[in-house]
Amino acid sequence: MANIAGAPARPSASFLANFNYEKYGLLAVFIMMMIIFYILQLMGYVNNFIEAHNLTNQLRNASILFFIVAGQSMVLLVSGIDLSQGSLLSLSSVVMAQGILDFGLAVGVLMGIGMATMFGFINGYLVGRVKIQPFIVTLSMLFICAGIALVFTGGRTIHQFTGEQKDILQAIGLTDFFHIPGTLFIAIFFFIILYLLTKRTVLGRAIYLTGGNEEAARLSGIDTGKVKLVCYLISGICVGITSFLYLARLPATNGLAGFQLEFQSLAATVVGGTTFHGGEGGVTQAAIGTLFLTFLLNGLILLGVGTFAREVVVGVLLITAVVLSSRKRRE
Amino acid sequence: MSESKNLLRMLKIDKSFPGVHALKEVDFDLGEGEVHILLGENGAGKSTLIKILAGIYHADSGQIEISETPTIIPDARTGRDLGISVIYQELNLVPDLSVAKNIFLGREPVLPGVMRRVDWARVEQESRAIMERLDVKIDVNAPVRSLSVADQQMVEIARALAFDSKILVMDEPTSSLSGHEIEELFKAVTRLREHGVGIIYISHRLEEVHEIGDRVTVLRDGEYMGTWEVKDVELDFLITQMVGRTLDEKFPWTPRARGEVALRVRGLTRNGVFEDINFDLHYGEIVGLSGLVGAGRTEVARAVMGADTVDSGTVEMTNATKEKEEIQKLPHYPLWMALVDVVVFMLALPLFTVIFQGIYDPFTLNMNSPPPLFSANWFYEWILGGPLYNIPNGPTPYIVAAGLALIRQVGLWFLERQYRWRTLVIDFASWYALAIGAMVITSLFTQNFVLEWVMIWGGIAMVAIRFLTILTHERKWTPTLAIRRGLGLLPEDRKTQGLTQVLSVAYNTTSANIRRLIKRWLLNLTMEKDLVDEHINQLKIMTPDQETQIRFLSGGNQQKVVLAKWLFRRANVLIFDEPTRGIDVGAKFEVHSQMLQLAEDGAAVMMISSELPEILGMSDRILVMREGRLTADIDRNEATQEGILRYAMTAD
Repeated sequence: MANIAGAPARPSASFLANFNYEKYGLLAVFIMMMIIFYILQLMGYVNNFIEAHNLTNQLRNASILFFIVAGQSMVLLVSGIDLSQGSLLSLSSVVMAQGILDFGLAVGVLMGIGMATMFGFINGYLVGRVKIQPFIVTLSMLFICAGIALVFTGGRTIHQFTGEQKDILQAIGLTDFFHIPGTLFIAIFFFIILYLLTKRTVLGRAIYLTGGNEEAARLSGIDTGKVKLVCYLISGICVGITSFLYLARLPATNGLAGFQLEFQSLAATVVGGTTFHGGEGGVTQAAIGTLFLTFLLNGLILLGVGTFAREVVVGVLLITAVVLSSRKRRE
Repeated sequence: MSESKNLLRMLKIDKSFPGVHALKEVDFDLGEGEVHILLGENGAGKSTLIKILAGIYHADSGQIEISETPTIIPDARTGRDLGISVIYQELNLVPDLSVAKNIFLGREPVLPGVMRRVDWARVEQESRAIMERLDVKIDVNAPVRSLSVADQQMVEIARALAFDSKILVMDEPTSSLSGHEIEELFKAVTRLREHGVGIIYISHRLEEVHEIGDRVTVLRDGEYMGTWEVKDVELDFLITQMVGRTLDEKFPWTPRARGEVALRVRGLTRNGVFEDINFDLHYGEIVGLSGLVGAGRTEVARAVMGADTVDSGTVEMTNATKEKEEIQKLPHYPLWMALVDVVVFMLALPLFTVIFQGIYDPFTLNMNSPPPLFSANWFYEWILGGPLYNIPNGPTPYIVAAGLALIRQVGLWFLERQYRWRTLVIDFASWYALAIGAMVITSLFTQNFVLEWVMIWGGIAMVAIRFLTILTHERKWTPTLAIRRGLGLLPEDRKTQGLTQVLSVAYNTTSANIRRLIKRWLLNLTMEKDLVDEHINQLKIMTPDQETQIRFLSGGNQQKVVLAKWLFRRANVLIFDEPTRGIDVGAKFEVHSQMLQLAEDGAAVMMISSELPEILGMSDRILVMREGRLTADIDRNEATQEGILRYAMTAD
């Protein structure tokens, strides 16, 4: 009522005041982190952090992780959650591996990705059409997929590919061009597609509107159930692609290949700035979050921080990210 | 009654909220064994007064005396301890607990001892005693869930008695009761009165005033109008006391020509909420929908929009104007297009068949390669089929498939009267995905060639699914369909239903018609910027830029964004639900002007409002709702505040 003149004008005093923390804050933190690790390296505490081989490896990890983080972002954008990613990755990778053994490379890969897509569709159908809580649906799917994957493999590792198949797979998964991993190009291509999808299509708008306020979106004529369905479907496809890249990098897999990977993807998504409320965040945030998490964990490993201590760091990081985003919301 | 002991006296109660002077030196008193009726229209200050009495609000000035002693009621618990009980419209009972446990909820008697166990025997026994005192037959061990609304109300009254209340406030107790149940309630009220309980009775049914009231007090706009003995006053006198809010506000109304029917609502019913709603909305007119809060106006608007389901009734949008085609942007599906579709189907089917057979059929490897496309052999094979070129069953499957395609296309044309490339592409793609998938899998496992059967059965399945979706889904009245027909709703609760707070002005403005921005497959952001700027300027929306999130805008500007959303959609039937509630004067005038402009441009406008001056000032025609029914359809020239209020508050 007091504010008849409209919203407050943005302060425009200096660069710092004008800086869009919301959009580029994490990027700045990421760059700062890299600088800090580099200084630590110069001081001799960290070995081989800023070094071609390590950077290539980490970019490869990041670009593979990016796919599921992007899928998770899609789901989080419509205020859902996909807990089934990790175990679905296990399932789809073992189906893919077995398919390659039985029917050849192309059919096997299609079968694996198709399996992940199908489970993504089932998740989406249950959430969007049957209207069950996403947490319950994907938690159940976590157990279902993990169970099927373990029963399917009987606990064994599948690795008996022919030499030719191994060569093709590793050509996709491990080739570098001037120290830039090939998977990064695939990830960038996928990033562009998803970026266009979220920012420049009707579906993308519908995703943001549904996540931001479902009732308002429904009253604007958007089929919110369908939008959610598509988001879970995209998450499933992303998992399928990730499982292929995992398999391509290391031509072997077992029923625990994606064990607890959903937490890593959730962590990267939330750190990137996509919130649980939906409607905020996006693919760019997913990419930055993935890079940040990957390089942070790598740096900590090289710094000599143990596995469990790293988990503590990730936990603290998550809480910090959530606190910052909720403060931004409340301001 | 006036000679009996005074239970309550409220003197010169004054209360202001930011921007509103809710109560202006209101006096009120209540005697022992008296039923005192409190009257007033929406926002007159009744509930504020009651909340001050219950200790939920605090008066800015004034004095409250209970049993002739000045008292301060700091919170609700103190109010209850002082013997004040309020029965709200929404009953506050725990549905799964028994009647007796509900009556003693929060103050159960305990047995002596350190364990402080609840004395359930006493709870039950005392509950039974209270029920006897009220002379109602309710099983005190039954869960509240199993009781009727009327009986639940009795439980509330019993709870008030269990607290030893001397002052009982009943807020519209009869609004959800039937005739017989009201009689039961009145009997209970009479019995309470005999026990010396003072009752403050708020009602919107004026006929009840004479039925159970002893005295009546009228509030208007937060002002105390007077207190009268019920037997001394006529209903008409009370109505004139209630109305009379000032009409000094300016409304930009001008007479207009009325067009054809835009929206036809027939027999709309949602059990327990509204019943048998019939009205027409014409192009070029502004219809005001008046009534008291809770009469079901918002619910009707949401039902018309398709946001809530209804039990029966129809909503029909006629789209009689010329702009229809342009607004919908959806061309009809002409028959010739259906025939083209069929030809495409017939051509494409063998095309795909040959291509994929060439790749996947294991027998092909040992035979001649498939004939070149469109060659004589290919054509021969397509028409006749034959073992030589892998089409063993002749043309039958193709004829069946083409027939199905024809049925589907003509059916679509009749059922939807719309042509959509998307539908065609989806059908086409899924049909072939199914066929090719099955082909791949069967050739892998069984070496058996079943393409034709998959084609036929897949086709049948696709057609069946498509028809089922059209019959079940498309016919349901949903917001999507309503918007496609040109309807727009500016909801009452714009913050949570009209806008997405965390998204930008631009995103919200274009949300109802994102498709309009498509250019060459993608959204054209330059076009969006220009169009949104146009709307911002037209509606004078105060915002730093388009990217600003909605939550940073003031209420009036938010409302303008909701309006911009529907202007962007080019909706030509608009329902404004409380469009000016909580927005400042300047924005209010702006919204009214836009409403008028829309009507002048030929749109049909319906405005729901609780403010009588606004209704009278803006409407060409006024509909009045009372307890879920339409009770009046008044022309602008014949409408008065008294008339509207009479229809809104009294039966017949």
